[in-house]
Parts: sequence; C-alpha cells; structure tokens
Amino acid sequence: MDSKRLLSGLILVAFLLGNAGISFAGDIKPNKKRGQVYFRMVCTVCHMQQAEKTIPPSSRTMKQWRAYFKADKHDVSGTTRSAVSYYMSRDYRVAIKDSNKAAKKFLKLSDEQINADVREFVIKGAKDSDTPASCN
Amino acid sequence: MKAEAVKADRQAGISRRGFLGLCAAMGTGAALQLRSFKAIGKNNDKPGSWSRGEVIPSTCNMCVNRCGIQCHVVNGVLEKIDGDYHNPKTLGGTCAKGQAGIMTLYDPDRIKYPLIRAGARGEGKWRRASWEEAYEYVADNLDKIMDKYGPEGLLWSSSTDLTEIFFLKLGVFLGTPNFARHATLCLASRNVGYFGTMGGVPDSDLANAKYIIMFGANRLESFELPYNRDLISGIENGAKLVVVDPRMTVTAAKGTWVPIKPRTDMALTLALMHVLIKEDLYDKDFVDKLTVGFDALKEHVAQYSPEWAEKETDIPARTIVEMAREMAVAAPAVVVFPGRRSSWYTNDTQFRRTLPMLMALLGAFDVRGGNFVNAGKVKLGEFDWEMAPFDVAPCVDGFDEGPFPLAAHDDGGYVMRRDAIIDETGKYPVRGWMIYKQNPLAAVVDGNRTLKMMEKMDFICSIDVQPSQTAWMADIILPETTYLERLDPIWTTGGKVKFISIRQPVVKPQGEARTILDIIKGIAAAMDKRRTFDPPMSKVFDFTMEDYVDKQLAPLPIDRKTLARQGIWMPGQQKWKLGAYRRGEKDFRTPSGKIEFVSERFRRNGYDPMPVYEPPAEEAGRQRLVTGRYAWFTHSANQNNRWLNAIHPENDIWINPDVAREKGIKDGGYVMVRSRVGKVKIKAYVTPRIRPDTVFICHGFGTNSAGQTTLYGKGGADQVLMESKADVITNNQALHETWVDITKV
Ligand code: HEC
Repeated sequence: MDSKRLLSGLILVAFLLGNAGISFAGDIKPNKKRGQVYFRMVCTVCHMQQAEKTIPPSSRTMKQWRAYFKADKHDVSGTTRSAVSYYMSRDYRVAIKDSNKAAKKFLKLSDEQINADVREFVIKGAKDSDTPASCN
Repeated sequence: MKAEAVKADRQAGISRRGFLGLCAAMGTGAALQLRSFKAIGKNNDKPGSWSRGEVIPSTCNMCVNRCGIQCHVVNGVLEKIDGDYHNPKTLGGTCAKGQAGIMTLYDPDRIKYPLIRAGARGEGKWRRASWEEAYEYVADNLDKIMDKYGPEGLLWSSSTDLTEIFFLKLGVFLGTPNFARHATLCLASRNVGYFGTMGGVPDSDLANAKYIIMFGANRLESFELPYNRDLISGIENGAKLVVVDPRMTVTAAKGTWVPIKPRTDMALTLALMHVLIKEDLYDKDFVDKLTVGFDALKEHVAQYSPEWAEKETDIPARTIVEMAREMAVAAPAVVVFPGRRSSWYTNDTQFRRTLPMLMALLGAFDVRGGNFVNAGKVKLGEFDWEMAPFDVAPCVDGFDEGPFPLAAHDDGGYVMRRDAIIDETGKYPVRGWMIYKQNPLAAVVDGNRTLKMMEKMDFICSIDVQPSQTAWMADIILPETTYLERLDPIWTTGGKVKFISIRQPVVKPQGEARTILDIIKGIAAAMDKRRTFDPPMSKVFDFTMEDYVDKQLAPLPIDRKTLARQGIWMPGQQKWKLGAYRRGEKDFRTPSGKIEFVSERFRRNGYDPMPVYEPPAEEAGRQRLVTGRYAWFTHSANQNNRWLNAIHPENDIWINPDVAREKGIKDGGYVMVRSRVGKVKIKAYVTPRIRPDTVFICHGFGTNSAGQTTLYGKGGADQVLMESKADVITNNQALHETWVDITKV
C-alpha cells in the first residue's frame, strides 16, 4: 500500500472537513462531531449553570427535536433569549468567546454551519434514534 | 525468587496455608455453601475482626464490581483486607479475590520499574529505565509514528475502569480515532439486543423473585457480591433458580440445571414464548399497555413448538412446557437475567433480544421480584476538560460508518479492527499500539492472530502492574500502581440503593510504580517537546487526582477528607421506587416508547425485526469449546496471584465421561486439544457436569510470560484455540464458535 498517497488523501479530507463551514450556504455538510462539541461546550455548560440540569439529545424524539428547531423558540420559561438559533449564531459566539473555548474555536464558522452541526448531533442522538446521546 | 516470595508472604502477615483455610471457611471452593456464604456477613457485622493497626476504607479492584473493603495496615504494611460493613451493597462481604489483593500488591513478580525491551520481542530480556528515559522513549516512538502515518497510525486499547478516562484522553488529544475498548470483548451484543427491544438493560430484583432463569450466566462464580447476596437471599426465600447451560457451573448446582445443547438457547426462548401465548399464560394487561407488536410475535412463534425445540435443544418438550407454566405461576416475580458477559455465538444479539421479550410476556418488569430500571445514581461534578480535537481521521476499518449501525462506535470492534490492521485492508496503516489495563493476547479470540497484529506494530507500550502476556510482548512496560496504592476518581453507583465510594491509597507504592495520571502527564510533557499541540498536552493534564476528585465532589455535601474517612457516602433520600412505567409516567427509549416485540431499530437497519432461529452447524466427532471462570479468577488478571493460584494452580479441560471412555482419556491425564487455529496441551477433568458434545476450559491460563513465575508453564490457553468469529450485529467476539479434537497424550 502506498502510505504517502493515502496520507495526502487523508490530509485533503481533513482539509475539506475543516473548511466545510466557510463554503457557501446550500452545500453545507453537517459535522456531527463538531455539533457534539458545540452542544456540550456551549449549550450544556449553560444549562448546568442556569437551569441546573442537562437537556440531553436523548430527552426528546427526532420528531420533537425537528419541531423544536423549526419553531426556533429557546425555552418556554422565557428566562433566556427567545430563539435557539441565537445560541448558535456568530453574534453569540463573539459575545462569549473570551470565556468559552468552543465559541472561540468556531468563531469563523457560519451560523448555518453551526446550526446544521448541532442539529445533526442532537437529532442523531435523539431518544428514538439508533445512537441516543447523553450530554457527555 | 522463592525466598523473596516467602518474604512477601510473611510481609503480608499471613501464611498461604492460613489464607487457603480462610477461603475454605468462606465457602469459595467449588462446593460453595449457602450457610458459609451468609456467615461472611455475620463475621463482619462488627468492626475490628482484625484488631491491629490502622483501618482504611477503600474500594476493591480485584474484579470489576468495586466492593467496599477495609484495609488493615500495620507499620505501613497491608496485613488484612476485610469487607466494609458500611457498604450498602456488599455489607461486609469480600471474596477470595478481594482478600488476596494483598498478594497482588506484594507479588514478587510485579513490575516495579519501567522496563525497556533489550532482546527480541517476547524473549524476556529487559533493561531497567528511569521514568524520564521511559517517557522520552514512548514519546519518541509515538512521534515517529505520527510523523509517518499521522495520529491515526496509533491504536489505543484499554478496559473499563475508573482511571481509564485519563488514558483515553491522551489518545483523543493526540488525535487517533482508533480505540479498541472492552465492549466488543464482552457485553456489546447484550447491550444492543436489549437496546433494540426496550431501550436499555434492566436490573434484576433477585432477592424478591420467585423464579429466576439464567442463560449461561454463572453469577456465583463471577462473584459479584451484591448480586450474589441477593441471589442467595432469593433462593433462601424460596425462589426457583433455573440455569440453562451446557455445563453444570456452581450456579447451576445451586438450582435446576438445564443442560442445553450449545448455540440453541434461542430455540428455547422462542418455544417458551410459544407456550406462554398458546396456553394463554402471558400477562395481557402488561402486553396491552407496555408493548408493541404482539400479534406479529404470536404469529412468529407459532412455528416454534416445544416438540420442535426439543429436537434443537435436547431439552424434553415436557420440561419446556413445565418451565413456561412455572414461570407464569411465579409471574410477575420472575427475573429473566440479562447476563453480563461475553457473547458466545454469532447470533448473540438476536438471542439476547428474546430475553426482554420473554420478560415482557410475563409482565416481569417494573415490579417487585422482576426486572427493573436502575433508580439512578448520585450525580457527580464534571471535570472541565480542555477542548479536544474532533476533526480526526475516520476509523481504520470504517467501523463507525456502516457495517454495525447499532454498535457503540467509539469503543471500536476488536475483531474487525484486528483484521483490518493485519490484512492491511483498512484505510491506512496502523503501526503503534498503546495498551492500558488490558491483556488482548489473552482476551481476544485466536491469540495467534493477535500475535500477528503485534508483528505489524513498530511500537507497543503496555501499562500494567504485572508482566501479563501482552506486556511480555511489548517494547516497553510502564509499571502502574495497584488499587491499594493510589487515589482513583470517585465511583458512583445505583440500583436499589445509590451511593458513592472512594478508592484511596492504603500503603506507599512498591518500587517506582506510578499512577496512570502521572504516567500520562509524563508522556504528555515529552510529547510537547516534540510537537505543537493546541492546547499543549501538558496543559490538558495539568491537574492532580485530588483536583479531579474535588471537582467530582463539589456538588455534594461531602469533601474528600471526610469521604476518605468514611469510605462511602449515601444521600439521605433512598427510596427505591417501582411502577413508573406501569403508571405511564416513564416510557422506554425505543422509537415506539414501548417494549418492541418487533424492533423498529432492527427493522430500519435491515436486520430481522424479530429473532429468527437458525440451527447451528454440527461437526461430528468433535466437541464445541466453551469457556468461563472459577470464582477466584477475574479474566486473566489474577491467575498469577500466588494465593489465588494456590487454590487452582492449573486449569483443565472438562470432558464428559462417555467421551473420555471412547477416547481412552483418564481423569487427571493430559490431552492435546486442537482447533482450526491452534493447539493446547492440558489436563483432563472427566466429569458428568458437562454435555458430551461440549468441553470447557477455564480462561486465563497458558501464559507465554515467563515473568509470571507462579503461572508460567501451567495449564492451557482457551483463546489460542478459539476461531476468530464475531456476532454479526455488534462485532462482539463470539467465544463459543470453535470445535475441537481431543486426543490423549
Ligand atoms: C445562556 C444560557 C443558555 C444557552 C447558551 C443555551 N441554553 Fe438552552 N436553556 C437555558 C435555560 C435557562 C433553559 C430553561 C431551563 C428550564 O426550563 O429550567 C433552557 C432550556 C432549553 C431547552 C428546553 C426548552 C423547553 O422549553 O423545554 C432546550 C431544548 C434548550 N435549552 C436547547 C438549547 C440548545 C440546543 C442550546 C445551544 C445551541 C442552548 N439551549 C443554549 C439556557 C441556555
């Protein structure tokens, strides 16, 4: 096996993967792992602090999550900003970048990209999915 | 060596003869006595049964069950280990292994310094190295492999324990996607079978059950104290224990042994369901409210009559009918024990699926004496890890991309991964292997194939307390402290009672052994000298175990020092509640929210949505090999423990007397056992406790490591004989798919 060629192929894949967010809206490829990191380090960290609980992907069904993201209302109690998309936006990432490693690392990615990533992770980890996910 | 060993015995303050006497009194021999088992608790009702010295509470690590222990330390020497009567699960009990922990600590064979290979691999020539040199050596090799193949050129193997997290994190931060963990060596198929049926694996209320059925599970010799206590109480309270197993284990000896023909367990469970439905003995209310797919099940099992099953299983049709009726009478106080162990056959996941199905027909869930869902655990504080790289390469074998959609992808599939590496059929070469707390040469089917994988490796590092078979083949061995010499992350557990417990150092480390966290820190710092990481590796691990534990304890009203004095901590609120599912307050983690006779997850992934039976292949004139353990051994971990080895110095192969007679084999004589992949010379134990078409070898013997001086040269290795087969849905290795020829030598 030609390991050099294989390696350069891999580097190319890694390159494409790393830059997926800078591509144009429309050909966004969701990255589940990035969604997981974002969900864990931005969403869950705040839920632990402000709501003293976690809201794992496995707490809802795929259908419920889809409806949740479509409605784009963040929480019924109304203690936080009203749209869940806000917490995935660049504005929010800029606001918390000094205290949040994930927000800082993903600062440049588009709102659509982070949205797609988080959604991918949450829906693939829903209660009725094949791989229900906790918050860790 | 002998003098050293005697010294170690003496240092430990107890003679081997004394220890054996103790074990016998505890009833850990093959003829485990109910009464003496109860006496364990009685003897330990009062503290100070070993009156001298300081008493330090901690958590055992001689197997995976984490019983509470009290360590009696006199002048810095551990003299005695008792059970901790404060521990609400183990209630002062400790088994032979638990007590022999002293000998794991003071074993003269222990690795006390870093050792770098000085001869050929496996030759046993080592030179002692300083820790500094050892870290540089490991980092040099990891760095070289990462240069040439990328971080994905590294394979990261470890088994589940409280400390595994630190080892895993090093792999994660270096950027390898290739882990090979415990799951597919053990319980992946059971997990997925239950997951596809009811969303998770339930617990068992053994103490209050009226009927307990176990398929192959050998609880009393796996020595899981909490379970054993409950099982014994259950039997004493009049429960009927039925053990379905081709071999009469100690557990089977305590109940009714149903000597099933191996690989036909699913025929029995399907036929039991057939009878329950046909005779209208199932729990209609439960089935209506909490399950889906009953009509399809009824139609499906109509073909599996007891008469049909008799031909498959060798269990008389009448017995099957009686079993079903007795279960129905005892229902809902029936435990269909999920088992915990390795998969046996290539159809294991589908077989496991039939267990919760049977349970559901009996309505034996969420009810006293039945199966139930763990009431939750004490929530610990979370450690704030640095952010790990996530844009890593895909796994070498594509395990996470399709072939096993329901498997736990991060754990890797051991058999598949090994094939991809040896045959170079993977996406790229893997050339470095880091191994912690795992002995793959013994643990994985077809040991010779694991040796082949080692040949592919430019570098192998083993982190272990003893020169295990795998460590013996490594390029460097890094000595870890035993559980008696270190602080571990806090353990939290649930079930009927929830509590946390501490594992803490009771004596100073032997030689220069270090904790895994210190070892990882050393490697991390050495890696930072060679490469740039963001964040730097040393920053990722810039904390102490005390920091880690303090973080865990932060949300709780107890601090580390107090916990160290108490050993355990329980929240005041301890109600074990049942009935939430029955009342509709909770639903199952399945697509339908109910127990699925027809599994939606299986259906949408292209598997049979209902378990379909296929008869096993037969090999005339040969025997099917099965494996298992005796009460004093854990996997391959403590056969070299001098005290435990004294109970059972050499393993043997169980052969039915009819077969022995036919082949001229005598009890105690030696035989040669041959399979398609290996051969082993081993002593014969001729016994009617096993079926004629089956032979049994206790796992963990036949070491290739001359460093294990007590064990070396004794007994035969089962895994050398086992063919490389795996469950088709999870890639969980299948341990009972090998046929062997036996000849007298
Ligand atoms: C600034 C803090 C914060 C951030 C960031 C945050 N949440 Fe929340 N979230 C909350 C609070 C507070 C609640 C209300 C919890 C409660 O009801 O007790 C909540 C509730 C929720 C709920 C439950 C809604 C309901 O009404 O049942 C969901 C779902 C949710 N958040 C998802 C997310 C996701 C996804 C993200 C990240 C993209 C996120 N949240 C980020 C604070 C946050």
